[in-house]
Amino acid sequence: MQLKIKTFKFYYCLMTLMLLGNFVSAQIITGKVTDSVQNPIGYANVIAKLTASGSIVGFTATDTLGMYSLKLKKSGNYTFIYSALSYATDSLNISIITQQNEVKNISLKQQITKLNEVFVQTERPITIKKDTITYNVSTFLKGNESVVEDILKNLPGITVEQDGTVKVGEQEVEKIMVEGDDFFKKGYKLLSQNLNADVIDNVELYKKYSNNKLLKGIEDSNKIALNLTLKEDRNIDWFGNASITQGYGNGYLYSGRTNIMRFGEKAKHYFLANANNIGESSGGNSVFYADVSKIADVGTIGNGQFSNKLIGLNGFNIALKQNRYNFNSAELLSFNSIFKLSQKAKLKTNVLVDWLETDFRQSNIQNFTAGSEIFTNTQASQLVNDRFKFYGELDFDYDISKTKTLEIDTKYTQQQNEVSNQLIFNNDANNEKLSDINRRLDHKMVYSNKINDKTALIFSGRYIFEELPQDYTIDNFLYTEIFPNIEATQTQQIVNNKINVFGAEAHLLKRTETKNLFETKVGFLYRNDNLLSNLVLSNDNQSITPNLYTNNLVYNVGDIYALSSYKFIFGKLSIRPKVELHHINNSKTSFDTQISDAVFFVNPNLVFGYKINDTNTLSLALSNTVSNATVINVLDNYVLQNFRGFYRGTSDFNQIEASSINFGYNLGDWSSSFFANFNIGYTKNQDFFSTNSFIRQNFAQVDAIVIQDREQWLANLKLDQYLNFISNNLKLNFQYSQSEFKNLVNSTNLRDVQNNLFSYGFEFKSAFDGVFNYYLGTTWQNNTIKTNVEFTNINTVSFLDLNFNYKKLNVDLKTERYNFGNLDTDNTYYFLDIISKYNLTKEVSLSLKGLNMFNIQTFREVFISDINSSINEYRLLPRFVLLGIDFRF
Amino acid sequence: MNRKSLFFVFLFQISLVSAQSVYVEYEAITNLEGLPLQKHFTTLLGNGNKSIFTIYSQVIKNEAISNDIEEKLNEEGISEYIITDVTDVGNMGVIYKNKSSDTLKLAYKHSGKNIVINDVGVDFDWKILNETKLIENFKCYKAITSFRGRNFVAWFTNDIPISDGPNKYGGLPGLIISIYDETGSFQWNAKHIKYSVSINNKSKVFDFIKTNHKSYLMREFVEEQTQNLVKKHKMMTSKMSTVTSNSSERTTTRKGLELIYEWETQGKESVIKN
Repeated sequence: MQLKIKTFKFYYCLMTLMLLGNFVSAQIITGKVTDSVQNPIGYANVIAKLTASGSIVGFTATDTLGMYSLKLKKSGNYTFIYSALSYATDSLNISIITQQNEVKNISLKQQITKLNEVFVQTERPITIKKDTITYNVSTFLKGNESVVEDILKNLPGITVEQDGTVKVGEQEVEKIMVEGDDFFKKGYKLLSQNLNADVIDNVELYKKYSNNKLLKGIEDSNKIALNLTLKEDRNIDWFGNASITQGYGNGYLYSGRTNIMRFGEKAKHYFLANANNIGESSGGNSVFYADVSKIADVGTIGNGQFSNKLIGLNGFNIALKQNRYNFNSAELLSFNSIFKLSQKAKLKTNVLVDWLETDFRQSNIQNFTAGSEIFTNTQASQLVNDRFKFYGELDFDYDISKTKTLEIDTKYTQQQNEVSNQLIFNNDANNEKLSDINRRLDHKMVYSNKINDKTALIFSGRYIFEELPQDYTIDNFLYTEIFPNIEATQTQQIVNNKINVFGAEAHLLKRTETKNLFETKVGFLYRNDNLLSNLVLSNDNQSITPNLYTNNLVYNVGDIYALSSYKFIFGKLSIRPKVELHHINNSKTSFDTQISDAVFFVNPNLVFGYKINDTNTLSLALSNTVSNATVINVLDNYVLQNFRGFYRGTSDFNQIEASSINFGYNLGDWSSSFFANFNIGYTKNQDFFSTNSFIRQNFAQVDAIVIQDREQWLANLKLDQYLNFISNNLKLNFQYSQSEFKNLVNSTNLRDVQNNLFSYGFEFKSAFDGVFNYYLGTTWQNNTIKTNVEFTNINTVSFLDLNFNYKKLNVDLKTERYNFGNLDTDNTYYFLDIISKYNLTKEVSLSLKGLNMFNIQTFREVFISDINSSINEYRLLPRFVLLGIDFRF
Repeated sequence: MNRKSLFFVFLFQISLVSAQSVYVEYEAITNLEGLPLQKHFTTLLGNGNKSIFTIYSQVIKNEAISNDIEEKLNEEGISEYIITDVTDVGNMGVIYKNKSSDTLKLAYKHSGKNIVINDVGVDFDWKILNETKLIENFKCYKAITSFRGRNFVAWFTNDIPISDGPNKYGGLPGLIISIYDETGSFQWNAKHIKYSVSINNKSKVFDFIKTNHKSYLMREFVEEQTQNLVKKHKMMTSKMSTVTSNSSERTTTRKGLELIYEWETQGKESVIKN
């Protein structure tokens, strides 16, 4: 019996083996690889190739005894290749027909490989050349990219913040160019958030970037710029994207945006259209009005020269986000093209047309304590502003030679405002109207000459013409106390304000062998202000223009200046002394009286930097600055600045002087667990422009006066600590400022004004795993203004954001709380916004937003100054829901 | 011809008593999201059984590296070869592979301390494709594999018959000339190959013999590091000024070369897609 079972087992096994053999038909080839004297060769490679096709179907290596074993799945003709270092490669042809395992031994001939040296050239995804990094985009694509911004997120070293700011490390990039051409300068977000990803071939990152290419390596630049190069085949086509949002709330709500572009060899075009009535900014401002460079930079003469707007009606200052109170209807069109005229010449054109209609409502109660005058004003306004803006820019760049360039830029802006305001002032209804047309023409020319590797000389010239005529009317006459003999029913102010600015400068930069930098500038800047203002008080029968309220002023300021600075670097310490010399000729013609004056002053400045180690840095800056009076400061007679405010200057030339000292200490940075930052600054104004005010219930008449001694202190401390045990980060902020100055209010005696502002707050932010996170914080602000009376204001602003993120869905619940300590009732406001986004496909995403979900329709705030405390009430956009879709074409 | 070169020539003449080896310089490129691009000069010296792969902190070959290499190449196998300390010439780390003992050791300086990690889980399941290309006259075959959460493409040549490659890679029937992961985040490209060079049979250049290194098993080390990383990452995201759409994925997902380890996929057959 036992034997039977054994026999059975034996057959069973045999059968199984045979069956399996039939199905799998795997052959195992074993063997030994030896040298000519039968010594085993270890670690020899054995490759099995199909003889016919040459494809590798199996491989193995020998062990220390030279033995190998290789399993083959199919029968057929194989070539076995045996190779080992120091031996000649050999092969065997093996035909496998049966299921039998075979043994194939081979002996290899010893071969002394002579030294081969091979230098391999391979394609690279990233090339680094000095200060340029080139990313080959296709290497980094993950497949879900839709716009340029998405590519940038995937590139090592580049980060994109939630608002679209592109940073390299902690530093924002200067611009994003396309094929070396700059459409938008700092307004690059328009490009990075709209240009399709699939057209980009390479991204180039320029470190130590200079806006003037000839200054590269000479000027002290830590700027960074990006350049996008396009795929060959996308250089011809038109392409674009669009997003459309439909709103449900009070009335018909919408927002829409589209981009169309074409990047050709000879011409590049980028067109954009935007329209909305949900309180969003159309983006037109950020594109062209971002001040591109600091005055201290090369070739920036004339920057910051604008005409003065004497009267404005929309001076709002609300703590809320703009889209809560901005009842608007906005349309924007933007056309941008760059034409390559020749190898050396390039022309850029930008055209922007912007229509904006806003409707703003507020009311306020102002309690004045102005010397012996104590009164309360109430005011309600409904302000409708109709704005049209046109902007055109023409830039011409010409490369004269490799070391010389010429740049000519011309910009023209025209902005028209028609404002009407239904004003109820102390229960009287008034109609206010203001129309102004602002025209500005700006020419700039920069000629750069790179003398040698370390030295450059730049000549720049600028001419600006700007005019801002204004016509203001209110159908009331509130100034009986000033004009007791006049009976008027209407007040009008007609202004014509023109400026002409021109200047030229030469700027020499020289870097020494020891990396120190020497800079010197000489130039002149001339500004001519032409200011006409007439106050017309009229009734049905007559119009009167009081002399003291009329200005006919020509104010000319010619500044001949020289500036020199030297930056020394001694290891961890850097010192940069700088001296500015100004010789200023002032002349003024008011009606028929002409006066002139010449002054000379020196502005010294000294900056120390000390890097104690990688985490601790100290800085100290000292400066003394004299500045010349502007046209507003020298006005002889009064101008109306709002329906109840007159202002006039000192009618004299003045220079005011200030000294300041600032100290800073920094410990760690945002990547360290603990981070601290402390700054303290003190400014002393040897003289400054203060005011002599005559205040009555219906009007305020303010004279500029020059007074000595104003002091300001400013200190702030930031602490930032990560708390590991609860996965939260805690931030503490403290800020204190104090200023002391003097002014005159309804009196001939100077009074002291002391302003203290203390604010402190904390923020908690979670770093939880999983779908949920929060961010909360509160800031307390305590403001005290002390004269003979004291105004105090305590406000608290808190926020709580909850974020849920699950796969393709992202939901943000944002809440805000405002508390105004000076309000007795209704002093707390809560807001809730819900923002959600769902990525449907690569091309299409959906969004759902609910704004102002608690439907807060009015908002009240408290303001204090040295003469009043006021409660302002604003109308807000009621609750609404937006459903949107984003797609590309 | 300097003395060292002459010495080389001499070595080849007596190469019968020396094992022939291959010397390769690879350029290693790391392109990780959110990090600056890193390039490293790396070298592989291997004799088929054993190899030493050195990662230098420098981008290109300089004098210090050259000296270090010559020292290795000229090593005569005198009683005890003292490997250059990992920090002496800016080396960032050294990988020792040994087929006969089936070991792979990583020696480097971690947080200022010398450590050695025994990586016991290195095993490649290569698939050789039909695609071939010529790289500097070497017939190269394309092979693919998945290793610790990344999918790799390698180009190897049987013309140089050592089963080795840069970093931990190897196991193909020939030298890996170029290997990269499919996302392009990591790449090694051979730039300079010398074969064969001779190393004295008694040389200890291929063996890790230092004793002042703290020794870890790969798993111990990874687990300790992951804990520290999670802590650091949470800290950093909690300091950003907007409430970010959660950080959990970033925290728990590795972003480096090795994304997932064998002990973490027990029972799971799936390859982790990046």
